[in-house]
Amino acid sequence: MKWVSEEFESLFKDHLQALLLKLINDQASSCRSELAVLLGSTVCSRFSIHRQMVEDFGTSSISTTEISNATDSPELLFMISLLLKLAADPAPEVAEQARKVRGFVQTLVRRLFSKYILRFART
Amino acid sequence: MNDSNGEFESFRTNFLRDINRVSDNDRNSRKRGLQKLLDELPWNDKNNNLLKQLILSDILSALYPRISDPVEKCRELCLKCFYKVVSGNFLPVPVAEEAITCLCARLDDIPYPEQVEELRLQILQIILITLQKLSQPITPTLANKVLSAVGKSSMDPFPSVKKESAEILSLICRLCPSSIRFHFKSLLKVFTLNCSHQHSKIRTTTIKVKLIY
Repeated sequence: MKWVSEEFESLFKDHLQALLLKLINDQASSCRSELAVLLGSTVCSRFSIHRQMVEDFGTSSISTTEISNATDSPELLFMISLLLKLAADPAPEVAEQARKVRGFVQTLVRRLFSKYILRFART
Repeated sequence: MNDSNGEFESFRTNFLRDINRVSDNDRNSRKRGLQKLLDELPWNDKNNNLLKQLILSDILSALYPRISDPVEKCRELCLKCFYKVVSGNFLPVPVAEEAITCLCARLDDIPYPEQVEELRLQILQIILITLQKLSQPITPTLANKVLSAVGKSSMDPFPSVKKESAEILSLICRLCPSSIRFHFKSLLKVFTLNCSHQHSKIRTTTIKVKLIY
């Protein structure tokens, strides 16, 4: 399902958010590792970038418009926060999966953060 | 042309008795017919055009009613024949789609029309291999039928059926992602349950299904 829709937003709040929070604490590291892969791919797909591109070439360039569109997405921010948490997972295979896209995620965080600062400065 | 027709007719004659037995009223006769077809047709010869022709002209029409045969052994043998048919790549796309539709009907209700869990697993394996071998992109109509059936089979208490259902969903998400939209809500509920399953392999396979794109 395309995750840029009102329908998705309500489903995310009602079901997905709780499910992701449950999975991030799953006792099996294989599940957490798969979750890291899924979250990485999903965040990349939000910017229409294939996860493999990010893994192979590091941080991809993201346009300011795309960042602007994503800024108001609490789902994206939530997934990013989970990814960053998984990057510090005690199981190496889980952390490794999350770290493969960490550079990209950190760039996103920096861009989002500076946009918030700018918005805050204007008000 | 006449030579090839004659060749096909003589090939067909060798198996016609067994094909007719598959539709017999007597359960033992049906069983023997299916077993004979399974044992004696040259399934491994994937370039056998005579077999391909025989499958399309006679065997498939005999097999379809046996998918819902009242005798479990007949259903099992029928599904084994189907597995050979699809894994040998003998079906053109429209026929493969028709076969998938028939198979999905055995899972698309609760309680399942197919009551034996091993046979439900076999049905899903056949659907998966057929979808993998389809040379054309999957049509939204077919995707909807499969999604509806797989949404129900994901609730199966048999773990292997859950795993196979997740594999099929994963494939549909790759082949026809837009079709997920209409089933997203119901699938999400089943997935939430499967993500709490006691087997970590089931949880892992469930997470692998990429519903969001």
